[in-house]
Amino acid sequence: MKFVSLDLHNWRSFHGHNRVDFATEEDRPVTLLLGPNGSGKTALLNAFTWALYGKFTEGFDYHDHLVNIEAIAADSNAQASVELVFLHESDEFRVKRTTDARRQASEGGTELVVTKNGVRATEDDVHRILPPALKDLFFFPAESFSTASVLKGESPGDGTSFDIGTAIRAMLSGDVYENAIADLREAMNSNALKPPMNYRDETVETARRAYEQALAELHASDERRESLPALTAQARESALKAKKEAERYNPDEMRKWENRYKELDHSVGEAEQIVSRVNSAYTELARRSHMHFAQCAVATAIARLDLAETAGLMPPRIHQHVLAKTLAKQTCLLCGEHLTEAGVARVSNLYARVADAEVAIRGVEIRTRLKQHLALLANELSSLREEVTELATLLGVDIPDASSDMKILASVIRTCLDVADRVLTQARREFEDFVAASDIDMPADGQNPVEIAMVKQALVDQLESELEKIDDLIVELKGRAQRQFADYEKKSGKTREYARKTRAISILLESMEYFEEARKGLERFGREDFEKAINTTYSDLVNKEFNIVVGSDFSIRVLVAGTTDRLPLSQSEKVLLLIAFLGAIARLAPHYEKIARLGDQLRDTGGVETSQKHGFPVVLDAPTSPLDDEYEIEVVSALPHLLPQVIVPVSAKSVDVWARISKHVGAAYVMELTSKNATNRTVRWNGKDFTYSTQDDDVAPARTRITRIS
Amino acid sequence: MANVTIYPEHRDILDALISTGKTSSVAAATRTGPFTAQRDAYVFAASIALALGAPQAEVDMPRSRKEITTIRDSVFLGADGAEALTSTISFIEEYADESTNDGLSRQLHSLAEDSLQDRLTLLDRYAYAGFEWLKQNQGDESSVRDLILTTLNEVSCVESAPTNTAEVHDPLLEMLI
Repeated sequence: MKFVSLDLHNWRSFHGHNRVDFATEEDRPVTLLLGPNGSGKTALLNAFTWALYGKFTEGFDYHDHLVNIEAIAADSNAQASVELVFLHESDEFRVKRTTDARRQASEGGTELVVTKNGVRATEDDVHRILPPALKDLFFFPAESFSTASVLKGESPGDGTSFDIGTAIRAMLSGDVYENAIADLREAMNSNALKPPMNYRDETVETARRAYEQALAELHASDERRESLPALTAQARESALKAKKEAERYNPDEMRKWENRYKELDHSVGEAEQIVSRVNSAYTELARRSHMHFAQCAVATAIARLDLAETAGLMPPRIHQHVLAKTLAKQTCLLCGEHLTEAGVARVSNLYARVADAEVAIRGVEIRTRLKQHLALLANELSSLREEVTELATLLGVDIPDASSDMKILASVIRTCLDVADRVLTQARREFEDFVAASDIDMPADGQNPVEIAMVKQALVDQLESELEKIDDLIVELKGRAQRQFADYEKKSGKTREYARKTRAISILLESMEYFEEARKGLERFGREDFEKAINTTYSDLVNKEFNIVVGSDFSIRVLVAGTTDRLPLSQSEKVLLLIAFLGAIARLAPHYEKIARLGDQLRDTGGVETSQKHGFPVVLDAPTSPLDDEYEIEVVSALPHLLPQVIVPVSAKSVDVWARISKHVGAAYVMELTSKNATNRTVRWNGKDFTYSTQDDDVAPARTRITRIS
Repeated sequence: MANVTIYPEHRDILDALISTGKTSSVAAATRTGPFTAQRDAYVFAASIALALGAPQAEVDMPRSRKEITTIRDSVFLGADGAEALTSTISFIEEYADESTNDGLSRQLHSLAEDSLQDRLTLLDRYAYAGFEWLKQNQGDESSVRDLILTTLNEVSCVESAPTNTAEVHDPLLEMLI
């Protein structure tokens, strides 16, 4: 497979129409695109991934600003499109993706047209050749991604999050086995294979539940095994970045700094808490102050009610109706005795002094409530006094005495408020001064990068240990599931219908076993192919005796040939190892695509021989940018021996290094940047000067034009 | 239905005493005022005048009902301390030309349910005077918090003069003699 051309229309900074025709000659495999910083090298890489997958590489942040801004200014409905033409076997594929200014930010706001030899085809036809799982391997954002991390790591896997196992399965269409396994698992769990609703035998049910539980555990561990390599790779990448960050700081100084940071932060927190407590005490005092103000009036009211009792106005000892009727009948209503004249006078006198019974009852009730009110005041005062005493002690303020009323408490609270505010201001100032101090090198967020790196490394260790043990665990769980199933099958023999169902499950289990073995075999043979391919590829790039060993998790170790000792690698050798890593996949790709197409996975995988003559192209965005000059030369010189087609957008300032391999460069382009902030610069290629950066006050935002120079 | 009244001239001080409904933190409450409802601020103001023993004179109470704020008795009496104040108010006023027995009887009768509005009207005079006091002193303070703390410091409750109890006796005793 080879890329033929790439047409960009209003894509990012590429205003108007720009085209790249890729080098396709065998002895001149390199297409070189020279551009200054900001000219859109990464945007060019993302033009490939967007057209093919509708996705972007890591670190590309302009997902919703794809249409050229200048084009939008001229037409608010302006469109952007990328068309990629490639040849595979004898077929020509065209993939064209389009969006416009209005839809570019929305999910699915693109149109894709795929043709094969001029006839409409589908996205799947393209993805069978270039599986989405390989996006980051074929289109490698070396500059923003991981070349620099790889230099720090022990192997090309360090600092990257490649999941080679998944990539290989994707190339071999090995996911058909995974899908088959998932379908079988679903079938086994279907209601059709469960016992009939009207049949419940506790012994059989217990056996069935035990089997299902064992199967679920096995399934969970299987899934975990699938995800572990990617998780481990991501954790390694994250740990390496954290380690690099931590190395910027002195651990002892950091620890001291962190302790002081925590101490001061804690002081601020404590001071804030005290201010909050004093404010709470004030609020409580204010809300209860009406009791303090009203207490004399309440006491007076109680005294008046007591007096009313002395005056016989309450409680209602004789109801006024009794007295009224006694007077009316001139006979005592209680004893039936006729009233004498003196008696009438006394009862009349009493009648005049006895209050309304309801009012008298109310008087008693109110007196009780007012007494309760005063008791409540005493309680509230006592609890406030306790809190204020505690706060005064904390703040070193004079403590209120045990008989303090609200007036005194208010005075203490006022002092506490002043002191607490001062303490808080002081604590905040100390904290801010400490954080702002420039003589200590520390992270702005106050988190210890050394500790973060240790935590991340611990996660890597944990995942690696889990990865090491998971195969044994799965074997154990599988054994348990088989035993539980045998028990279930045996016990279910009581009814014919039940036995038929367990027999069906048994057949499905055997089928699943077959597919699992096939998948494992594919992975094992795929790993063997990959190991051979990376050894061959690396030997095409580096003149050194070595032996690359690929682990079951696709981890890579480079050993001195014939030994188990690790081979020390230079900067350039590490980067070339990473490039060989990508190249090995790209070299395997055409073989695996054919194997998958013919359905020969189980026959041919593991016996694939690769060479530079066969391989899919790769696009490497600025692969040498972090290297010193001498190492850059080594990497650049090796690249023409990688694959039949290599596309490299690079900085124009490295042009002298690339000029050394000009005989292998089949096509060279300049990505000319024009903007008001640019400077006028030229680049020399094959003895001629070409403009690659132009200053123009009238051009804003920046504009890039791609021009072929050889 | 009875109610208490807050007059428009006290709207600002009322607002200053009440925290906005959205402030959940204590710190925010201290910036705006410690009370959560108008009725609580009313009780606070009335209690100040009660302590001072100085209600607004009846003749000086505003006659206009324009832009007044009223709080229904059922709502007002739910405020902390409102019921105690409303009952206490009955026993504050004594008339010079009234015997102790008559005064006690009048005060006791004023506790009756149908006298509630009279008691609340009397309480309005105290609340009015309390709000006035706060309004006049507000200018000297930098915050509501300071105003309230100063109020607690400066306002002391006035104890009423002892009643002559010699003439008070239980008429039943006379019947027994």
